[in-house]
Amino acid sequence: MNQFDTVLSPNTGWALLAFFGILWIALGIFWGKRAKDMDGFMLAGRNVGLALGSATAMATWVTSNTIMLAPKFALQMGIWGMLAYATASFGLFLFAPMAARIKSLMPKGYTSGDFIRIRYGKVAWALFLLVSIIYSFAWLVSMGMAGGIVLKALAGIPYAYGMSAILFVCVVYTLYGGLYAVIGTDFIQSIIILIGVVLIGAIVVMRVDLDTTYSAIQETQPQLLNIFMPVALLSLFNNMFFGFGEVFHNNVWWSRAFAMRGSVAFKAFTLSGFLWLPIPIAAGFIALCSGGLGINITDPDMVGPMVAGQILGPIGAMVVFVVVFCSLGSSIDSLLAATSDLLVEDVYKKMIAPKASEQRVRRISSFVILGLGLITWLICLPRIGDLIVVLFLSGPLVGSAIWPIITGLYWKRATSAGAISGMLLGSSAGLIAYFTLGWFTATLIATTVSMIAVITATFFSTSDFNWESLNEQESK
Amino acid sequence: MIEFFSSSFFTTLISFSLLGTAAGAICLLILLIRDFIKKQTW
Repeated sequence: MNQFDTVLSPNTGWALLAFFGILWIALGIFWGKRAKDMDGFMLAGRNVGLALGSATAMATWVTSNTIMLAPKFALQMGIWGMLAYATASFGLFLFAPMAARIKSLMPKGYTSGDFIRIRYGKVAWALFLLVSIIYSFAWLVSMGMAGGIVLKALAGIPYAYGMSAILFVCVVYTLYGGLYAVIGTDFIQSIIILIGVVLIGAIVVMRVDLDTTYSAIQETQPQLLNIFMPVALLSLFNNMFFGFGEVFHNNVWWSRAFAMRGSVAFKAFTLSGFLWLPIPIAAGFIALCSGGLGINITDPDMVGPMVAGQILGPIGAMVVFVVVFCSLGSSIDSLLAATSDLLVEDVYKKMIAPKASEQRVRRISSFVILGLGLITWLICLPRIGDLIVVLFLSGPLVGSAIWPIITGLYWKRATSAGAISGMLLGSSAGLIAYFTLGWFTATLIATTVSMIAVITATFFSTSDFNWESLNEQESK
Repeated sequence: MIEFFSSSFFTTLISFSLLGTAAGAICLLILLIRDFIKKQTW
């Protein structure tokens, strides 16, 4: 326990949780009425505009990890740590042209799995689904755990209760509203996150002189200002590639590309990158103020909320609480919806019951969302591991999917053999690096090995893929 | 040889990140109003 527990009373914490929980559920039910069919439930009618499209891409990418780990990165790796985290926005920038291409190649597509199945065949598809589902669970679990931990630290709400409450709220509104509810609540959550981060940062800047902070760091921990900090530089590239892998492969972003109006996809993802870019720095720098303020950091995972609470008091703690709750909600709901789409569309509809009625598919979709929530809850309950371990263990897997996706979208000669060997060899090499060299090398190595395998196979291939076959509805 | 980030870089980085985040919130609200008027929200 630390001094921070007393900043926000459990009653205040529960009151905030209840207020926002009821609000999200009510909005989810309200917006959910728009979902008349599966296109509405899974893809919000495929007509999402620029404002909602940009906000949902940004809010989904602002996870609790952004708010909690960016300050930890700053605390441990200084300026490079914040910049390293900010490079995750490059994934959104680079996905922008890909989203426009996805939309034009697959105007009636549903999931990233659809693309891999048509483009590379069933073996690559099965491997991709495995990578995607493992990663989605790792992300869900890391956020469920973060939710429980932060609610306990901020308001003294027992870990199991806080974690359960957050998961419950997200499951309920996603269940009722599908992607309409997810995108609608994401917009409100984006605005709250952006305003909250600015509010905390601005007050910290007003209370703590930045020049003095710089001098204090220079005196006590000069390595945090070092331009040539090898671990931080490695983590920068690792984080950047992790970001590419996460965004390029995950159905969370593919479903948004399918959901957006055609002309909007490129602009929305570009804008979301710009919206996201400054957040890790704005949220992370307050950790660097801890030394100058004489705050004793007992738990690096909690440095952001601890500093905010110490400087800003109960109001600061309330703002952090709401921002973290919104960042958790905006990502958990998206993951529940997109992972359920992947399981329903790719596993149930394609493998088990291709002739199932729309009503039945919708019912199965509800069961899958409930099941995902339940499994996540069961994994989160024992509270195992460190946040960063949960997050980065899946890094090599997603890193290995970058090149199969890029070459598959743009290169006619890309083959199934290249995609399969890229994912298998990349993941294996990355996991070996994770355990032998360190987390900050794993994704980098996985991506490089996968790139060599995919490009080598493509170079020797004579394949001439017909892009029109990706438009399944038309080619049937 | 420069070994450390300068104080002015540190201050500018943080100031711009806060301004950028605030601008993002304003931008989203303006876009929403625009989309709403043009009936292009969703």
